[in-house]
Amino acid sequence: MIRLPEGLGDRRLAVDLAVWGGLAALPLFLGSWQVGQIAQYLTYGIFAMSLALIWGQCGLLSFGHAVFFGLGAYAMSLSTLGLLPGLEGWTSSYLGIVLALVLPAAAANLLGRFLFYGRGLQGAQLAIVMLAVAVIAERLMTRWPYAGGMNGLMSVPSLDIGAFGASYELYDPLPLFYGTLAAAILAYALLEALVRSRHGVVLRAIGSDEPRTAFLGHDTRAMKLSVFTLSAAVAGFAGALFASQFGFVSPPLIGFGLSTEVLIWVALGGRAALLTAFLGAIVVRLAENALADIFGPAWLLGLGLLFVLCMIFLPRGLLGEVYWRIIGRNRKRRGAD
Amino acid sequence: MLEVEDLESGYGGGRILRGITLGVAAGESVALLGRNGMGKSTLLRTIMGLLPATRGEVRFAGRRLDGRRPEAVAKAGIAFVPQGREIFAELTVEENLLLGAMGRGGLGAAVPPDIYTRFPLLEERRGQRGGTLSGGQQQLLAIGRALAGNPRVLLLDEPSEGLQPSIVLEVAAALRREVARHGLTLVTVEQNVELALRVAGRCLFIENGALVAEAPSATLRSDPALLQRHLAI
Amino acid sequence: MDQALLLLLDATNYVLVIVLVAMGLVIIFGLMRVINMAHGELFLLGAYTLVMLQQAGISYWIGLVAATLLVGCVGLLMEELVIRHIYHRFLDTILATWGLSIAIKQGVILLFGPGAQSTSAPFAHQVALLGTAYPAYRLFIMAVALAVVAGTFYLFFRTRFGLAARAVIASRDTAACLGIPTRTFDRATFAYGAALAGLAGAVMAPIMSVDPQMGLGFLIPAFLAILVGGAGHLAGPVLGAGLIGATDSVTASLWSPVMAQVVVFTMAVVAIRVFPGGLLRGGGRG
Repeated sequence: MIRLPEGLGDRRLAVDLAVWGGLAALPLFLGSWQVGQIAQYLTYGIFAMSLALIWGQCGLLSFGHAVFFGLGAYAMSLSTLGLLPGLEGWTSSYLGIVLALVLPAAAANLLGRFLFYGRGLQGAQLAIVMLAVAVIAERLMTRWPYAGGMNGLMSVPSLDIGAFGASYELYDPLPLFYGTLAAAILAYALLEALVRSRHGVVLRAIGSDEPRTAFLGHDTRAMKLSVFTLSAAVAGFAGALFASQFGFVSPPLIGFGLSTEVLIWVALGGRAALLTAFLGAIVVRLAENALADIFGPAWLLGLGLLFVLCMIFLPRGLLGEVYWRIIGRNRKRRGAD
Repeated sequence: MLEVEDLESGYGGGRILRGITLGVAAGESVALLGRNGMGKSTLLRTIMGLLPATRGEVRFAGRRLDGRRPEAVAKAGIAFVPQGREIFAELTVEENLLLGAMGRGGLGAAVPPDIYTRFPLLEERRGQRGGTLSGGQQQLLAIGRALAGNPRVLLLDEPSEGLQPSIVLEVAAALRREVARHGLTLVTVEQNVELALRVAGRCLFIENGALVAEAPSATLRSDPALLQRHLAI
Repeated sequence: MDQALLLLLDATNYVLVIVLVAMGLVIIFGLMRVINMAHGELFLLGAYTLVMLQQAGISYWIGLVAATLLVGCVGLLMEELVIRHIYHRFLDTILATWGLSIAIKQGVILLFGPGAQSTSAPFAHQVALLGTAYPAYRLFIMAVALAVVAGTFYLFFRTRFGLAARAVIASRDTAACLGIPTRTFDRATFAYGAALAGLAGAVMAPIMSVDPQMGLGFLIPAFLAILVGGAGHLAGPVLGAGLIGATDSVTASLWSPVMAQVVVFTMAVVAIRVFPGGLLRGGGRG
């Protein structure tokens, strides 16, 4: 057996198994309504992982990551509703998923080709341009009758994972939950494999000091471009799952508000590890469910302040602080200086 | 005047200075010699407060300076010319000097008029941008800028770095004049032994972040073998 | 003809407002390498301060001064409580100020509700200008923006305060070693940048609907102006704002406001690719 240094591998594996096993066991303790709710949060979790991949690993901050999530959600909805010009008859969920992966990836790739050359604001141009993209995308969607305009698209069909003519819709809470959990595990396994590979080392090197990494001969721009594209595809995938679960997409999904939320989930959960970012989404959403009604607008005020405190004192996030202690590695990851 | 006691510091957890102790009297000129990476520059940076001391004390005229910010150290009367000179390339010679004066004297301060008589070259180049000066001129500007605040102690990091030998002699002459005529206390970190022996009355040898030997410059000049022995440690 | 002149005046007005907002941002970025995402909310606070004071029966002019000073103090507090701790972590400063922006916006919603407020300009008449009538208050806004730009340039390039500030920008450590109090300059800069945002908000409040979301609408063009123009020199954002504001106004009147945003955005992204350091790179330090 190949062992990671300091016996890290075993503990990480144990934590991974405990978290995913725990999630898989949740339906034993929860009612079916709650199970459906958590299935939805799992898609947010996948979305959070996609952001943690570029931000936590590579130091690429995006204030508009929901653009890719929303793009995936709209792609899924338009194709399963049979609204794609020329493809009206082909309403397969698989086509929707493929489009939800490809479109956001292409958009991210195109944007990245322009933005990763900018030096104007010390590497912050991606963050700011993505903020502009999110605001504009939301406004565009609001005014685009084809995509449902302000009202969005309703009655998006459930995910159909049938094959060879047979149909199986993920509609009931329990299959829906396990289907989404399987998708989350798949996404996690893929991304985590990347993070733990040699490429992951280069990503973190870029995150901590890009010029120095470039001096060592790494093509940092190409690396950033690929990881940004991958992240957008994963976000689009999450958006597609969300749309088919929720049955409804509307402009806020592609805009500034959700982009803001996902940053908070990842920051509070912990951007340095995919797992903590994923859990951050679920925990913050659960907390919001329980507390938002009680506190009203003060909830978001508190969340904003908690976020600021986290940035100052716990850059690894609330869950991340626990996670890295369990893992036993006291490494302090910080944003790129 | 300037005392350093059991000083430790370093970058990011690594110790570079390992308990260094030394004292410099008022009006004295000392040189710190030693190979690269032995902690000479680190010592100056720690005295200035650019690096936090993890142990030990820095005292200046009886006052503790360790733990103070660089601007407080400068205000107390210690000036620093860093390695690479770090003049403001976009600003004129006069503005560079003015900044030196303002640093200690506040926004209303003026450049001491005799700076230009002490460094006639700066008078000629007064309106020129710092970045357009040659290396030697920039070094003189950096020294002039540090002296414009009338400090009592001047810390110099590698003043000869990248300069032609003839210009090194010029810089050395200017420094000796400052020490002799204006009572400046000088601490110079140098690789160039020639310059160090010319400028300093006493040489301190640093090895692995600690003081290992010291000798008067006169002795070292007359006994090259001793000098070689100290440098080869 | 009148139409073209009006368009020109409106475009100039928009450009100058973006300059006003961008100026505060770029000063804070230039001196402290902090991208202040809460700048839009400082703008918002300026507008609300004016509205509240006017509703309390206090004169517009006192409100304008009070908004500027109050928001300057908020900036000072932000610097002292938050930014100071994370100067060395670039991305975290963006995020922390952005967290503050959420908190400020929600605080405003809690205090004043999510709805729009409105207030009136101190003078509502039109003046004849080159054969067309134009609201006097808009001309006043332009004058304020020009005065702020001129004042800022004077402060940074003609005073000793500015000389020291530029020294801190060029090299913090060297400036500190000369005895220049860098912390004081940090505080003063942040307060000055914030105060400009407050002034911009207050000055704009009478001609727009004052609601908790208003900050973002000005923050984005201001940022794009900085990205296009470059942050290396104070004149960069002025140039960028000119380009962005003019494009936006012209496209909006010929096509639609949404398409204007798309066009401006596309232009900005292309400009970033073609001029990575901005159209106007600061002398030597991009």
